[in-house]
Parts: sequence; structure tokens; C-alpha cells
Amino acid sequence: MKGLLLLSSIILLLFFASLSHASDFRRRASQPLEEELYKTEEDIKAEIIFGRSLSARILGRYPIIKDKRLTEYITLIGKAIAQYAGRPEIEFHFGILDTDTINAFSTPGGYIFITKGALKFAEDEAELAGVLGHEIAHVVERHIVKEINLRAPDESPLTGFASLIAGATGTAEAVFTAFVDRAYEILFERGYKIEDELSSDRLSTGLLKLSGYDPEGLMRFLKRLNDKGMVKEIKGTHPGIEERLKSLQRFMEENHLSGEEKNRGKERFYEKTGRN
Amino acid sequence: MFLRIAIILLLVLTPLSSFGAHLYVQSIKAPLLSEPRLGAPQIAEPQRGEVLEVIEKKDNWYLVKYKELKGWVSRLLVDIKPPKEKVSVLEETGQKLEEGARKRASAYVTAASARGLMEERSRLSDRYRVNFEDLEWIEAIKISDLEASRFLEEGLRK
Repeated sequence: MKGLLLLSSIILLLFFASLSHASDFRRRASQPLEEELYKTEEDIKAEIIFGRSLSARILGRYPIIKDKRLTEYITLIGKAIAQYAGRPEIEFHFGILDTDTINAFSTPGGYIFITKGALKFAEDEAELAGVLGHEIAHVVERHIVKEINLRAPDESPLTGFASLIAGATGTAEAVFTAFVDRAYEILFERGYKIEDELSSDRLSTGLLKLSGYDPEGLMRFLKRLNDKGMVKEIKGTHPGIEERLKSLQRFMEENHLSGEEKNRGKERFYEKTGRN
Repeated sequence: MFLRIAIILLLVLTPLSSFGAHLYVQSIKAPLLSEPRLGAPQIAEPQRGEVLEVIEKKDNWYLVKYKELKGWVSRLLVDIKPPKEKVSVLEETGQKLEEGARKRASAYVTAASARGLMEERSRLSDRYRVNFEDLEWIEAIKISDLEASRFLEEGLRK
């Protein structure tokens, strides 16, 4: 009798201990709980709708180059590396902005833009993939969504992002427009937080490695920008290039990526971009 | 009596206690590595949707068990939930145009009508120009995951 009671007690204790462990694990595995707010299908749709509005503003500033063959090439590179980015629910779209400025942008929901200037500045496919990967990383990590704290203006029972889009009131309209304004300011005036830039650089380098490109692609592109004194082109929107280069170098060393076989895709890059 | 209770508790609670210690591969492939660093030798390559059993977590890496093999996988490639299908607001918009602008009577508006509503608001902004025509041009370019994978394999063989 006593033995059975003891056995039952041990089982119960083991169960509650393991439940606590499982709960703790789920919390750690899913990253900050805050992120869960953005994971319902309605939230993802809202993210795309928000990203479309922001993208339309970018394209109001710089029109797209309607070269289908070249855009398909950029899209193939971008989609190929995005397959390793861990957000399979996002359909990424890519476009080339008609400006000689060297820069790239992204908006929530998977819209990625590279300028004609940045495309010309790249020397091979791995560099181009590195620049696209950096922007893909901003989308995957939801940097804009988190920075502007995109939430509903009230205590709506709907999840934050979706309720904002679903709102049909004048307040919701004003809040939506204000959020798009703030996101636009991040892209063209304030820039991302430096930690978001460093994180996107690391993730992009990881994407290059996972997809089989030269992992130094992004680092080579940034280093050349720095060496040629062209940093001012991206300074406002992508701050701290020297810190970024140091951080990337450290990441390469920690992950033993230096001295990797160099798959730069130079031949195809020259062919597709019409260079000699 | 107590024996029965003990057996029932053992049968019911033990499987529940291990719930949550699994991760699903989200990326198209997720290299299982011998050490928690990207340059480490690859042991196996689980595909999207496959399940990994977690043994330990260290910074941005999980030590996992996969088909009797143990190795490290980056946290960026896995999630506690199975991978989702692609989410789109574009198809619904097309459907809406065909069916007319019917509104749902629920608390949600459909993604498509919400999209239309919000884009209308965005167009009303007097501070910025907007260009949805160019946006729709890039959205019309369709590349499948399979095409992207083939492109990667072909190019990197050169």
C-alpha cells in the first residue's frame, strides 16, 4: 500500500517537473513571446498588406526598371537564398529601382528592392545575393514591424497586427497611415538600429553559406564600398559600416567560414547583367 | 485500486510530459552539423517539415536527434510549429474583383478588402506619392521554389 502511494507520488512529481521543463523549453524555442503576436495567418496577411503600402511609397520615389529578364534573374537569386531563411509562408518579390544611388530596401511581407547603382556596383552573383540576403533578413526578423511596434490602437481581442488592418474606423485609418509614415522614415531617414543591421549581415552571410554561395559575398561588397569612399551613399539608411565589417569578420571567424571554396557565380552574373 | 491509478497515470502523463521537445524544419533543407558553427562538417540534411528531437540548446543552436544521428542545427531554420503554406493576399483580391465587393459581416474584413481599404488610405496620403502599378508589375513575375532550387544548383556547378 505504502509502496503504491510512493510510486504514484514519484510519477506525479516527475510529471510536473517535466511539464515545467517542457513549458520553459517552448518559451525558449519560440524566442521572445512577443513574436508569437505576429504569427497567425491574419497577422501575416496584415504584414503583407502593410508591406505593399510601404513598397508603393518606395516606388513613388524611385520607379521600377521594367526589364523582365533581369528582374527574373534577381528574383531567382533572391528566392533561391530565401528558401533557407525559415519563413516559408512568405512569397518574396524582387524589383530593381531606377536610381544610380547604391542601396537596397525591404518592406514587411517580403518586398525586396535593389537599386540600379547597387546592381552595377556588385561584381559577382555572391555579392548580389549577399545584398539581397541582408534585406531578406530584415523581413524574416520583422525588424520594421518590431521597431515601430505595430499594434492595434485599442484592446481589441484580435491579434495586434491583424486588428489594425481590420479596423474600419477613422482612428484605425490614421494609425495605419502614421505607421506607414514611421516605417518610411526608417527606410529613408533614420535607418535601422545598428543591432538590426548587424543581425541582418550575419543572417545574410549564413544564407550565402547554406545556399552554397561564397559566404564572403556581402562582406566583399561592403568592404569595397568602404575602400572606395562610397559609404555616404548608404550612411543614412544603413549606418555604421565599419562596425558592420568588424562584426562580419568576427562572425566569419567564429563559424570557420574563411577559406571556404569560393562559389561566386561570376560567369552567370556577367552573362545575365550584360557585362563583358 | 492504487496500482490501477498508478498505471493510468504512468500511461497518460508520460507521453504528455515530453510534448514540446520537437522542432520542425522550416527551410528547404537544414544541415545537421557536427559542431554549433556554420563551417562545421555536415552529418545529414533534413528536409522542410521533418521533425527533430531536441537534446540541448546553446545560443542560436540546437543539439538535436534525427534518425539516430545527433547534430547541431541553427535556430533560424527550425520552429516549434510545422512549416506554413505560402500566405497571399493577391489571389483573394482577384476573387473579390470577380465576385464583386461583398463584405464579410464578421469582425474581420477579408484580407483582400482590407488591402483595398488600406491602399485607398495610403493613396490619400498627401505627403508621399505612391506607385501601385510598378508594384503589381513585380508581383506578376512568378518563380517557383523548384525553379529557384534548379537555378542555384546549375549556377554553382559552373
